Amino acid sequence: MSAMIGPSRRWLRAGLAGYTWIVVLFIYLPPVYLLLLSFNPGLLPSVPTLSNLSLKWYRALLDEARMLDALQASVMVAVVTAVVTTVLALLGGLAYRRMAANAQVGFFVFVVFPMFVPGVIQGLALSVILRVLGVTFSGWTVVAGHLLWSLPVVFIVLLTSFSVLRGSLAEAAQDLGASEWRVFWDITFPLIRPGIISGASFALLLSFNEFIRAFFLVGGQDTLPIYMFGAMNAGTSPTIYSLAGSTLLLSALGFGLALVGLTLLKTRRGWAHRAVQSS
Amino acid sequence: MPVEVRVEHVTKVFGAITAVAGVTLEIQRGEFFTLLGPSGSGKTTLLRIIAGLEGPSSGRVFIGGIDATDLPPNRRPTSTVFQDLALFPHMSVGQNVEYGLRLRGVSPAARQARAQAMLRLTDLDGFYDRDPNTLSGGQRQRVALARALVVEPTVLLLDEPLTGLDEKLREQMQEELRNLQHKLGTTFVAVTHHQDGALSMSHRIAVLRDGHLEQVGGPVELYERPRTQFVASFVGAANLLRGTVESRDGHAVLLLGGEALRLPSPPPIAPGEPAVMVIRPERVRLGADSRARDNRVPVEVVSLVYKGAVLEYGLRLSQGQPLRAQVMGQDAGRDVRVGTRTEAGWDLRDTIVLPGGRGDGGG
Repeated sequence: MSAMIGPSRRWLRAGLAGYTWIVVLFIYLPPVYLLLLSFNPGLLPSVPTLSNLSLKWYRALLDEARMLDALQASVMVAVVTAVVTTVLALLGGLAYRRMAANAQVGFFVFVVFPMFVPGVIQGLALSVILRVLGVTFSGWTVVAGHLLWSLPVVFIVLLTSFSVLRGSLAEAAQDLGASEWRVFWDITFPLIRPGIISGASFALLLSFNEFIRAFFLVGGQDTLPIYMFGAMNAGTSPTIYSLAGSTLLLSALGFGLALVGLTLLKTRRGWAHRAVQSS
Repeated sequence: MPVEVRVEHVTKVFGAITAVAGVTLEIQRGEFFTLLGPSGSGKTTLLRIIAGLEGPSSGRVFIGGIDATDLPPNRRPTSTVFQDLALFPHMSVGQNVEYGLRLRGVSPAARQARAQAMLRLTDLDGFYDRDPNTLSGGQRQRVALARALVVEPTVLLLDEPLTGLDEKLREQMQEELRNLQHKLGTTFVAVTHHQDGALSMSHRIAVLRDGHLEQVGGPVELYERPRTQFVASFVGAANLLRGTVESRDGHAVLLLGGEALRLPSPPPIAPGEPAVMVIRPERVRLGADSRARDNRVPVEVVSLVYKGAVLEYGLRLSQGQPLRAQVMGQDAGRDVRVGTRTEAGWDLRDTIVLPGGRGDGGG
């Protein structure tokens, strides 16, 4: 084998490394460019100069009442979607576990299929039906559309987390005297909690980002993506860059905090172990 | 002794498969009872029916004189040690052991005291705060035992407690279980396919095959007086010599090939009927030691396996029937060599004669 590590292999490695960097830049450069623009007091999107940075557009952002309303609407829709989706997916998942194998296949397809229906169709179809039923469009109708979109994803995430419930854990708890309800609270729920948290986060993000379904289903109050789309079309206001910038920074902050929290949790557990073992 | 568990005509059907077929048995209070059988014999299903984790298709289960057939597992006075142990991975050893007490509303101080006492009893002193995921297989097994015993069940059910342990640990666990059972006096019902473990742990053993009860009895009874070919060959090693019973000079003999083997009198099988003679390998004597035995046949030595404490000989009778013999130490070594001919002998008191018919252990 070692004889094969020749020039050709080295070229291959260099090529792969280069390709990887191109992909990384392709993904991260545009948002970073946007971020730099947002700190640029100039009005035109050009190559921003680092020597001239300002928080001007961030201050202006706070005065954009319509934008803030849209942000509030989006957050509300996302939170409600995340809660409702996670509860439904959890109930569905628990039911799925008790089904016979052939029923499971049918149920899985039934729940997951909407993932493969284009958003335009889903949004249009739902809006037509809701109109026929005489439903007033509002944040709730947007939630309904987002439910279709996020439920399959959260369901799959939860099913994956159910793998920790292997073997006779639930039976053992029941055997020790636990009712079905206690089995759920004491054993099932704590063990699948990571899956519930990541499922809810997915639903939150999917809803917060979603445009096309919301576009068909929105009432008087636009969600943030719809507002941004409108703002872009109505001639670019520079606040849109600071909005994108703050979203980006907040996401990075949230991700960073989660990472720090996880690390702290791990080391604390590690300490507890060492303390016990040395005592 | 009073009956602790009574299983009455219990049948369990899964789709097209009958896992347990009309089993009736009684387990005495304070007894170490073992359900022994190969995989698919229905032993685990029977245990799960006693635990309430599975409902019988028909039949009743009584525990402590009360009909428990329709009680869910959380309302039965039984505790189970599962084959996969099922230790709760998000709880410490102490929390695992205390879980059953927590469900029963025992105060934190009292349940910690009881858990600590049970951990001491299972030789896990100082493991209270440990994470069960970091323990060895034997330690995890003992945590599962402590967790099941701390709630003071009237019956402890053990599903394959010896599987997944290496041989040394398995012997240790057998002894530990026996001691624990002796100390606590709790009725233990274990499921296993390790016949040596079953013999050394249990007061009584039920041998199961294809969902049927083959025989129930103490270890000595099952080994010395198996009632079916299946029990004879499943509990311990056995030579099964198949032939036909004939009468010769007023004596019953078993004809196989050219040999006429003496049968005990009165013969348990009528002349003309097929029969099987069961002889344990360690009761077969070779060479000089075979002289003056009730039955003596010429054999060819085919193989010799050194097993430390014993030598195991593979032999062949004149018509090609195989025969195994086990000899302690080096005793037979001098005059019995592979490829040579010698003689094998055994006494009638070491012989069991069962009705013939190939494979239908029920006889």
